[in-house]
Amino acid sequence: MSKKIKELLPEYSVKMLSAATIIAIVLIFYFVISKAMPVIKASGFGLLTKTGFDQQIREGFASSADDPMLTFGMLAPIIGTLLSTLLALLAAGVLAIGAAAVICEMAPRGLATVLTAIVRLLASIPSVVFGLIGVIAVVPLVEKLFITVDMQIDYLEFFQMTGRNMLSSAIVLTFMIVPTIISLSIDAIRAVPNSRREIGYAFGMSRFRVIWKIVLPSARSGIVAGMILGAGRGIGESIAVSMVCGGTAYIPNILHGFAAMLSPILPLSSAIINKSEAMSSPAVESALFACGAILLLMGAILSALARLIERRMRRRAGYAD
Amino acid sequence: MGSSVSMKSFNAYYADKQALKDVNLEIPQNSIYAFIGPSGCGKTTLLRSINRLNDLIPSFSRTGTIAVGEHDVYGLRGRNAVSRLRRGIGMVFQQPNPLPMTVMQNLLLPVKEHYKDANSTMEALAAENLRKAGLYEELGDRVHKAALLLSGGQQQRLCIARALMLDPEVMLFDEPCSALDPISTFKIEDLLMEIKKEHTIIIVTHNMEQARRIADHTAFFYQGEIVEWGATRKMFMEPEQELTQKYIRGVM
Repeated sequence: MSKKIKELLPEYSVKMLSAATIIAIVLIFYFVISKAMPVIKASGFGLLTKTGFDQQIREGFASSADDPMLTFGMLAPIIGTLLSTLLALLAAGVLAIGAAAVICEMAPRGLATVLTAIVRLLASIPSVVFGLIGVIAVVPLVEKLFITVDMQIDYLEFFQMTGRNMLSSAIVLTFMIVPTIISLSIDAIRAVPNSRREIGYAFGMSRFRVIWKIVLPSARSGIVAGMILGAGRGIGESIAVSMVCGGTAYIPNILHGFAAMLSPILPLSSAIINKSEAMSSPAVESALFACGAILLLMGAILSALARLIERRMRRRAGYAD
Repeated sequence: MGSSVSMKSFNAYYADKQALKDVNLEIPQNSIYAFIGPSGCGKTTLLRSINRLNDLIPSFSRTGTIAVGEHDVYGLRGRNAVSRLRRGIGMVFQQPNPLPMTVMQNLLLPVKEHYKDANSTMEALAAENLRKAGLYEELGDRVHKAALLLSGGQQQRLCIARALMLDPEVMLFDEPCSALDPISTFKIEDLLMEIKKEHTIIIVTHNMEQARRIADHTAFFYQGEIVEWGATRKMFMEPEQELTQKYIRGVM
């Protein structure tokens, strides 16, 4: 009898805990979506395709509880999230792959250990600290390097040009994403067997060419996994970005050329932080939960995409599933 | 045409441990030379010294010389000299090691690295080498599919075709059949007999029957030294050394 309990107890507790995790995730989705429902119902598909978020928040806050203003359009925050994450991902991808290649393939062992430690440290810095650094270092730098009074006057009819803009958001995000991609890339590169490298050397390839043509392609799926995790962090990052993004739900206009990079944005997660003071109004509350629902959806799409890409890459390379 | 390879008082070390002792060997061109001997006897070290692949191991050092044709392998001067040397020496490893890309991409990798010919020229060359390796008809459209989907024997023949792409003077084989079934092994042996007409072949093998079947000459290694070398037939029929005799009889 007691023996049976000894066997069954661990089994059932593990099962219960797994079930609890799943239930928690389901509840999160349920809670967020049910809170967002009034706005989703009232806005319909326009939630994803219409603009005017800042104005709508003000109207929603001012509307009465009996007759709340529930029609929101979140195109600008959605584009803000996608653009800032994409820019950061491009920059971080290049930096991280380079850094990982140096750490694994070129640096002497001592230096590699130091660099790896720095990368780990970078990964453990709380995001609000990145935000602070963004405010005291990145924002003034961007302002000094790129923004002139003439430009500010030129673009006054579109937006107020300050150091808090898409470029600053992307720079801050880049440094937050880079450690994740470096760590995963290092693991992937270290997993490439030496026999692979020897193929290249035996053909007379230089070390750089071996890294470029053989090591990195062999490590591709790990590197892509790192990029996808990085993208997840970029989409979800709220505090640091909200400190440097400008806080205006503006859609950067590509016709402005480089100035588009200097437009303020308001990514979804920053919108939640930024507008949370107004959450006492049920309309705004529901709107911010709708932001959360869209973020959840993006996260789900991203993770599905990750699996799809991984599987396609493995199949194309000829590994059995 | 293949080049001859000659080693003169060649010694190799991994840190303090001596892996090869005073190796002197002349490998004639356009023949198959087999290195046999028990594990850890230094035969693979010698093979990998010919194209300086051992240079990648930090603890490796050596004395003495190896010459491939006219070139003194360890006396090369100038930038990219090692790269040029390796270009002229093909190598096939123990494990079939196509890269995770298509068959055609695998074949084009070495040529694209060093030459800027038109794609069609390079693909024609690839087809020619696939034909030599007996893979052209066998694979058909699959040349544009992933190389890792091929069987082990096909993969190894692909690796040989890939090594042939740079038309090397010397080809090094490091136990190329030890991971393969007998039928694939025979196919590869036939292939080696075919390509020795145009290339010098050095093969490390654990399989004495294989050495007997295909090698013109054989060298028997034991504990870092060459115990006996010479024409394969003579060595297997009437070995001069007792050690060789024992090894060939399988009592060692």
